[in-house]
Amino acid sequence: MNRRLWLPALGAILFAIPASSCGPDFPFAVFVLPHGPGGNYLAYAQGNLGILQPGYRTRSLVIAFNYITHHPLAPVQQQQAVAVDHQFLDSWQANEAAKQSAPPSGFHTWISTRATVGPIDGYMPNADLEVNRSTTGDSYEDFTNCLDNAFATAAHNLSALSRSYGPHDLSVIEWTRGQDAVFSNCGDGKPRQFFGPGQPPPPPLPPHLPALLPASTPLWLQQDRAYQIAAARFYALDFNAAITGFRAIAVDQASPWSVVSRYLIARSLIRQSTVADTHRSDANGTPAERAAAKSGFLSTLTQAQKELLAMRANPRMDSMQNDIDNLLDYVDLRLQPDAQAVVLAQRLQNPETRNFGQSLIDLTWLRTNQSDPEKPAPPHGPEDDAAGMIAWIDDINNLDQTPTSFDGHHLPHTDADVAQATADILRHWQTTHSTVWLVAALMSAHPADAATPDLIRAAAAVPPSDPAYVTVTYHRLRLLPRDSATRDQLLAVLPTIKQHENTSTLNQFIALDSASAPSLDAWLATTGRIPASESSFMDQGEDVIPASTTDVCGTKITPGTTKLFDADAANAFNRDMPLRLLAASAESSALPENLRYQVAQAALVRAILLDQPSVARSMTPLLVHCRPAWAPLLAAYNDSTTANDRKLNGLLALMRFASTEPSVRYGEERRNAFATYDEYRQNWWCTTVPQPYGTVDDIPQYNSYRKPPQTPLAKPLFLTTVDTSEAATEVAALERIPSASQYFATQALSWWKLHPTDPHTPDLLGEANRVLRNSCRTELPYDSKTNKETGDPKDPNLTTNLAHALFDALHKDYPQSTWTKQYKSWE
Amino acid sequence: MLWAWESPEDLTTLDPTKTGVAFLSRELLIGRTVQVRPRRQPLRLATNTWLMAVVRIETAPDFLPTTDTIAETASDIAALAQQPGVRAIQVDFDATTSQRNFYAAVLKRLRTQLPSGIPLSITALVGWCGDDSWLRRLPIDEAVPMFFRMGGPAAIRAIRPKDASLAREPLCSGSVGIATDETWPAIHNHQRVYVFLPGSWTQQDLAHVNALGYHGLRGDSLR
Repeated sequence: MNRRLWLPALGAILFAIPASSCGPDFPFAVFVLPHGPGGNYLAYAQGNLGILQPGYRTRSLVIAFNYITHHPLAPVQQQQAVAVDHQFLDSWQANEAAKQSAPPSGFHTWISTRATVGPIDGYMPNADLEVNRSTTGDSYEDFTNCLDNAFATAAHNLSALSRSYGPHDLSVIEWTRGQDAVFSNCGDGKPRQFFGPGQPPPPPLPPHLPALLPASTPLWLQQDRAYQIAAARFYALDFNAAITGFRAIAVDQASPWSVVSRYLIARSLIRQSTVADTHRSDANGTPAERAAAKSGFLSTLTQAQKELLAMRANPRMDSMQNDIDNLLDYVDLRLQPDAQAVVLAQRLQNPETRNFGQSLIDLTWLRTNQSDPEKPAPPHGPEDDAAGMIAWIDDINNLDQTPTSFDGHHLPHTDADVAQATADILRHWQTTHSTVWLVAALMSAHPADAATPDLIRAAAAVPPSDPAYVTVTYHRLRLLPRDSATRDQLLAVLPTIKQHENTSTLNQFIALDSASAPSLDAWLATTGRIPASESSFMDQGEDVIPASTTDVCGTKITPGTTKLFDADAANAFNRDMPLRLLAASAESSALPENLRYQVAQAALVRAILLDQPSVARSMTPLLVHCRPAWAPLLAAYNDSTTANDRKLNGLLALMRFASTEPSVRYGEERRNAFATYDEYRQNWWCTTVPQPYGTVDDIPQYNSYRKPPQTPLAKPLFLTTVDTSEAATEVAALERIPSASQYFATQALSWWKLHPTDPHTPDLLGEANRVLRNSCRTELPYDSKTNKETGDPKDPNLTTNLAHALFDALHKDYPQSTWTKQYKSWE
Repeated sequence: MLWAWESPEDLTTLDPTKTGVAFLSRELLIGRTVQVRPRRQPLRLATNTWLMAVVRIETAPDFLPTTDTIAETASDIAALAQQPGVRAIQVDFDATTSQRNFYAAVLKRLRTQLPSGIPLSITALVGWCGDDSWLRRLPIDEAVPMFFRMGGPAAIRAIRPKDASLAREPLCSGSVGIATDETWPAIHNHQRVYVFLPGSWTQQDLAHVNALGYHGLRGDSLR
């Protein structure tokens, strides 16, 4: 009878795939993926590296290092690399959905196979059988106690027994009874629906062991029973007793479980170090208890290491060498991380390595910075280590200052880290002149650095067939002066880039094109870019959340195909370009339609705010074509014959539609499209001109110890000093205009005082009231240290006071107005 | 209250007299059946830390609100109260409009299964906390409006400061959810503050929390 050895396998070291955070999580556009190549990961694993980023994860940088040092991945390694990337990135939902189309799991195979034997002692397991268990002690952590291949192997063995003896043979039934007992220890034993109101929870069930059998039992069943008992103890977390049981079986060379039981001694020790509170370094308890547990953890793992090394040297254990080596890796990761990092690096460079995927996972575990006391500090590769891989990955990651927090404040590395890494990289490059260190040196270089000319020369010598070519070429062009010669070189490579590279890489080359564009039209053609991803996690950037929206004019925005403004373009429109160029941009066919309308609206609003009626008039056809509802409002404005009329009609036009705003948006367009209120009050504007993207306002109440990143984006080359000076004057004037609610309310109240009998005045007051109720509020500042609001509560610009004033004006002077009837309370 | 999410957390230096911990205990994925994903990461706490167990609910594409999924969801959540030291339960579910009836049914059933003395909290989208809120019908003790992740980078700049007056529903007014990497709305003395930090809490973060002057951070003022 051919039975598979039933073996509770360790499985891969599983990382916690980040759970979704709390929060609504609206999608936003990511133009350059900071942490991984995204998209077609197989292409990346085949050597299409694109532009490497400092923030790339370990598993992606390993691949890059291999290709650049001419150690390409074997096809099976490429597949493993893709699988590992998916394992880390795929959501729980995606994994669950994939399971539904996958072959039946070992668990479900056991349930269905077990059903062929029928109920035993009135018991029949079903899909509710618990496989997870809590770690011991005061713990809030569960683990998968019974892994899927344990069920698969049990199902295989039961099938084999049933074929040999029949499913209702008494021995088979007894074997199955024992196996039921084993698996009943998989869970804590707490029923899911545990109690009703007012009742105490039941105590956890004691371990359930298969019964001892009489000596008259067939030998095979006695041998299986001994194994089942030891396994039950293992799953019941009684590791000392499990080890005793496995040792006894291991010395019984007649038992078919002898070899695997020897192996399971080490497994039991390792399991004990991860789930038993007396042996874990991260258990709860007093400091003395935790210190004792940490000591227990280390000595248990050391014992496991001894056992495994002894097994490795024992020819009897030859059939389990792979499993033994896997466990030794697990132990060595924790006991001797620096040495193990080098072992892993060497394996990862070897095209014969069969467990390439597991080695990627292990190296990632070593390098990941988590606040896990069990985890040793990330290793630093020795200067002369054969692979050099660790040092290279360390240095590249230390260049990374991509914010990992939503507000852009939290940086993974300080300026000192970057400076240290840069110096280290330059030293490696000057010593080796290897392409792999050239890549790192280029990534860390600035145009004015002394070494830059040397790097540029070396970069020019890298041929297009080299896997590093795209990264090297991008940085060479980035470091060259922004002149026509550089632009010619850029335009020469762009067609190839567009044809072969992914969106994230292409967007970076387009940004170079944008920065060197010699004219407005040439620049406009580069400003709309397709996002590389739509994400809800700034620090993941790879999730794609389909969202079908429309822009202000009803043009469909389709993720993955619709162009949006990246930060450099939005900054330029909002802060660097005078109004006349904004208007010219809106009239240019070089912009895609959805972006033209954004620009046209921004130009119109600014024109009215800055009292430039000719620009407003030029934008009118675009806006009316976009939304005919603008027509009467803009007609009234354009037909105004006096400054007062223009003022009045301008205010009424701007207040009519909630989507009206004086700037263009970086990334996603307005969620609610035209005129519809946003429930989070993103209506009209809170600030007329956004701060430059790439710099972030400080959040004094919490993050004062974190430095905001300063990465100012270059202004477009074609802008003259006259242009930028004009823009600066206009922006200064716009920045003096407060939030829409405050602006319109104060303007309406001023108008009312001067023109109380104007028939439009109640409309002005009413519309201002509507804006106030649905837009940004001006509140008193809040001091987190004293827990109090500061400032003068009588400040007339506070929203609450403006609301009072508008309400009083309407009710006092215009009691019959429909606005007065509509607004029965002041707020 | 600090939200301790799915990362290894060492909160042993947090001052338990001032700040409690709302830890992610499990996730439920609701399709035609309910899949449970328990917490897989260690959580280390100072002695006597006031604990709230949080369950995050996600729905699968084949989500089906049936009496079975309602019952199973409620009992899976109720089981959290069994964990050592847990004093309250919080449910984190960004229910869509069409899922609200399901959510309400789960909470009603859950309320009957929880022991008396275990408060029931939920997180809330800020938009749920306006006038005539659907939350008013729910048998909950608080709804925590989450003033973060309310839009991309453009939105952060558009709303400054965050508008606390959006949360007019009384169930929402007693607490506020904030994130360490975004701006905060005005926070009032009587409010319980829940703080989210992306990633694991560092010792520096915890020292800063210990130094904050907020009242009501400890959970036992929930009832």
